[in-house]
Amino acid sequence: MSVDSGPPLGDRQPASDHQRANSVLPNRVGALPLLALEKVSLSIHDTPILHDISLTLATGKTLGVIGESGSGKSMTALSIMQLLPRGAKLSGCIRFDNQTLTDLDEAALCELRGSDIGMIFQEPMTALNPVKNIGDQVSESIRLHRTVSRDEAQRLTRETLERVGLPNDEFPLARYPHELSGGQRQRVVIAIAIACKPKLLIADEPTTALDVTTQAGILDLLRSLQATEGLALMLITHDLAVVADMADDVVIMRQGRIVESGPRDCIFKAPQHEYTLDLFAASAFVPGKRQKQASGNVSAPLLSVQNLICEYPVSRRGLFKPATTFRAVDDVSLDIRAGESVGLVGESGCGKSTLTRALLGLMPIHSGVVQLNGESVSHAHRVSRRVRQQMQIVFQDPYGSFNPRHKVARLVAEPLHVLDSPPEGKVKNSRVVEVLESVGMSADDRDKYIHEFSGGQRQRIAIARALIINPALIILDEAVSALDVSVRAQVLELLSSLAAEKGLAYLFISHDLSVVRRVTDRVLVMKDGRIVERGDTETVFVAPQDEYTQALIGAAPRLEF
Amino acid sequence: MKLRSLLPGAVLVLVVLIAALLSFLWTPFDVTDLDIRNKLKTPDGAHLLGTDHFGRDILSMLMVGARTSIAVALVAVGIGMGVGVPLGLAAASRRGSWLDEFIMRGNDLVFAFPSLLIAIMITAVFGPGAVNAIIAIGIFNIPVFARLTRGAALSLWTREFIMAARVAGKNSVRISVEHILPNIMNLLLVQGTIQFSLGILAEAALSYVGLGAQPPIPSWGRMLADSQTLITLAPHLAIFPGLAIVLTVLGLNLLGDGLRDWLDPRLRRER
Amino acid sequence: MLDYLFRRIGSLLATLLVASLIVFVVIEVVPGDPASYMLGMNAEADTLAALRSELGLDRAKPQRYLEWVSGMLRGDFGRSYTYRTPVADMVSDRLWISLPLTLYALTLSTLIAFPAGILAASRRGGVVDTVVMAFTQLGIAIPNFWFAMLLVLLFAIKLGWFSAGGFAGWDAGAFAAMKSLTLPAVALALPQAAILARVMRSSLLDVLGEDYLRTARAKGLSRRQALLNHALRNALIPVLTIIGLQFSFMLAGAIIIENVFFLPGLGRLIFQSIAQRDLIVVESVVMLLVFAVVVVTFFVDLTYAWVDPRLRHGR
Repeated sequence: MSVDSGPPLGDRQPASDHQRANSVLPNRVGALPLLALEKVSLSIHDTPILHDISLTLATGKTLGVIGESGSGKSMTALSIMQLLPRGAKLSGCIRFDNQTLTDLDEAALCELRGSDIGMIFQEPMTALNPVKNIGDQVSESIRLHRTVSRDEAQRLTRETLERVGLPNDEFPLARYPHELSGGQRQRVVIAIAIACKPKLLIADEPTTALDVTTQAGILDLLRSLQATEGLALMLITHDLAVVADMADDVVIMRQGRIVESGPRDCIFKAPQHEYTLDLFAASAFVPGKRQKQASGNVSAPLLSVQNLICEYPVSRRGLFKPATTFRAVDDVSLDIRAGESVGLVGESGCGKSTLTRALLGLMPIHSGVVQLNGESVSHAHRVSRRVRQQMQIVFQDPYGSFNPRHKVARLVAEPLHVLDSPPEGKVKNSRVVEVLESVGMSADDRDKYIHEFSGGQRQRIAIARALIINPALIILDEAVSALDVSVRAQVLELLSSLAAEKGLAYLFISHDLSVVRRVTDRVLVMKDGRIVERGDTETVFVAPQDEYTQALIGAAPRLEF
Repeated sequence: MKLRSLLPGAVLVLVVLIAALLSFLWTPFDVTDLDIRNKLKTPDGAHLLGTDHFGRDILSMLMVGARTSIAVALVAVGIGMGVGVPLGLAAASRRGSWLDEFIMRGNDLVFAFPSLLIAIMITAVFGPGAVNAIIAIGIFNIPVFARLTRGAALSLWTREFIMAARVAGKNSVRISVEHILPNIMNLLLVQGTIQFSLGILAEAALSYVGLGAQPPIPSWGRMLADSQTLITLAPHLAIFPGLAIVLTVLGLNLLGDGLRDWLDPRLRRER
Repeated sequence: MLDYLFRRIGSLLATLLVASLIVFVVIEVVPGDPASYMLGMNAEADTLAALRSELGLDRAKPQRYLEWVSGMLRGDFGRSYTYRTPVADMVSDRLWISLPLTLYALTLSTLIAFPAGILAASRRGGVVDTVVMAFTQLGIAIPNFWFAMLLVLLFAIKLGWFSAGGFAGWDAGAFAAMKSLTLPAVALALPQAAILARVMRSSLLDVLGEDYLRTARAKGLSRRQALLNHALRNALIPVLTIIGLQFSFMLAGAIIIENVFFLPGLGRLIFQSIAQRDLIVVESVVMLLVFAVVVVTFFVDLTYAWVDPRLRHGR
């Protein structure tokens, strides 16, 4: 019970609050919390997952649980729901609303779940049953816990969907999940969770899988639901910025333990624990920016894209309807000069990935010109060696971007294939060692398989692979998006110093505005296949001109306060 | 824990294999020896599994029959893999092209024919015999492997390490051989054992209706067919060849399951 | 939905067309002339020519193909070379045994496999699961014709509950007819039920790991309710595919099982016709079975659309 519910926001006294929160004083008499975890430990198949987790949450409050992946934050939520995987052993005590959840039998728990405790999950695309319409999925929750007629359940379902911002005339109950966007699906998941007006709502990374503008909408919805329905909200996230906006109290978790907890203001203004400090430092991390070389701007562009259009055939909707195409990249022009770092920002589906593939010559382009150092990249399957020698890519997924059956030496050496006379034997070996060391790995790592490395190490190896042929341009496709903040900072630092050292140009593609802001000289904003705004990074961020850019920047949760 | 099926599977398969190989060198009795005086004997010390209506030793016939079953099924799997895997790889590397379309439609077409029926038709038209049985069974292995390969390869083609190889300038044939094939080898191996066991069953069915290996070559299906008229008189004639089929197929299936669990990296990491 | 239907019908017709071509070509390359086979070795040349012309064997192959196909469309399958009777009549008599047998077996197999698979999946790792899985492992390994022989040995010879073979005929009443089909149907069904139960189990286990099952449980559904309300319908999709394939397998398997039980079905007909070089009958029976398989696949596809709304909307 490290976190107390805290006094009302009005009479907050940071110093004393902080002390109280970190002491072991018992709860104040009378203010019995809605939810209390006492020394909860969990192991799954004898692997310890949680150690002595204690926390409390009062009605009407929001508790932010922060941790990187593997910190045990989701398992904490599932422990409260008592929906743990097979082989789980739980000790300690979980109290909710004058009941001890750990003592209840399965039938009693079923009555509680969905009625008094609702839960929202991270992945809205898969959280709904694809073969049932949304009306059935929401009303099932109501009919399960309330004895109401079918018509009454329908009415309540419509009402619930209205509450989460899905008005009935636009979103009739007969809609199926696949007809909704990610944000809309997440709203349906929220509707299921709040249909029976629960006292406690647990949201496990509710916005992580969503675009930044959608994310803002969902957070607003959670905030307003909490205010109007007076429920207690447990908000689990890896993103400090999300919690900064909403939480009354904060718990910071790492490797299954709570490392620090207390009221938000105390933690954010004066973090005590070293790990918390690291977390903040990493989130606010800004690598030293290079000075732009004045001469670089005059020279001919390294990569030049003019009026690029890429189209996909869309499978025909009907036998008698004409085949149509979807224009994923629509009249895009851009230049990247040697040594320059350019950001490309856009939400999912804006055409970033298609643009990337077109730049790399991996897909046919409909019209327009892509040139690298004056040489055309336009023909898929027929990209010249010289173009390939100058361009490399680092992908988002540190797990999927390596062949799991090859050793690191072979993985890193793969691009050498494109050189006119690939080095062999000792020369090749020393080249591999050289690039591995330049990204902070050791020569011994050559003989390991990729699954022996962590996500951050894998991204380093991916960078080494890109560097081995000394390209002039590296495309970073969401290259740090999958990494935890502290690791992300290190990788960004590495990229920054490599660019300074080798005069590399980067095309930095990301949905994450803060990352782009930190590491790029210029930025392009992409929407629906078009570039809607471009300019110096700082200028764009400080004074965005386009409406969409403004919305994008406004919607991003921020840490500063 | 799941690995418990690997060992019994491997042992059963090994026993059958050894019996088949041993039969080239030695069998308890000569299977072409007709010994009418000792016909329809129940199992005893001399004839461990008894004798048939010509007085031939059942155990010896089973050993030689194993040879036929294994050879037919193995070559049929070889045909399926040899043709199906390259087709599947090619289809996946040119997704959506006419080649892909052609291969997949061809597959659908083969699936539209009940496999056993066509095997019967082929062997009937081209004459009964082991070679035609192999072809008939092999043809139906082709789409199985082509489809499996294409499906697995397609999901690999979307992976980023394939993109990385393309950025490194490698062409699709090279990527298929270097990156795709090694990553689907496990899958093919497991499917191979399954098709092997199905091949044994199909061979038995074909020779049961007289379209498989022709006499005097003993085969398990044929032994069952011969035993049918004598079933009231000498039920052991029907029991032992059937058991041989069941144990072989069971062994192969267990081996396949065990291999899949053993080769699955997700399960292996947990060990 | 209508688009989906049209596309399916289109591919159904295309498959039938190509299949008929293949069957025709394969049968036509068969060595041996039916006419000379029927008249024996030392037939007069002009008698042979007359018979060939009567059977239509002297016409050009493309023309014969067209006549064959257009005849089938009108329900005219030609005349048997051997018996000189319309193939359609011969086939329809036999079909009244083979088709009920297949459907009987398919029903049995589904009725056995569904509960077994669901039970095993819901008690994963438990005793029931282990026992069911062991039985299915055995079931898959048993050749159905051998299983049929064992059934005859036990239920017909030892216990005398059923007859060892033959068909009572539908005239003897539905009960007697079904009784004589029971052992064959069980022999066909059990090995297939083993496969189906395994598919059902693994498909359910896959679905049970999905996120929406967690959502369902968080809603307050019990394990059982979540399994029946949310998992089952999603798990049905691969199971339907297998049921469709099993129909074709059982139809062909029936050919062999009919031999064990001396049932006068399509299987006996096809073996007889092959032995007598009665090609027109072989062609027609094969084509008919292919037609049945393609139609069943078509209905399985339609069921997909019923189960999965994503297909209904043409995605």
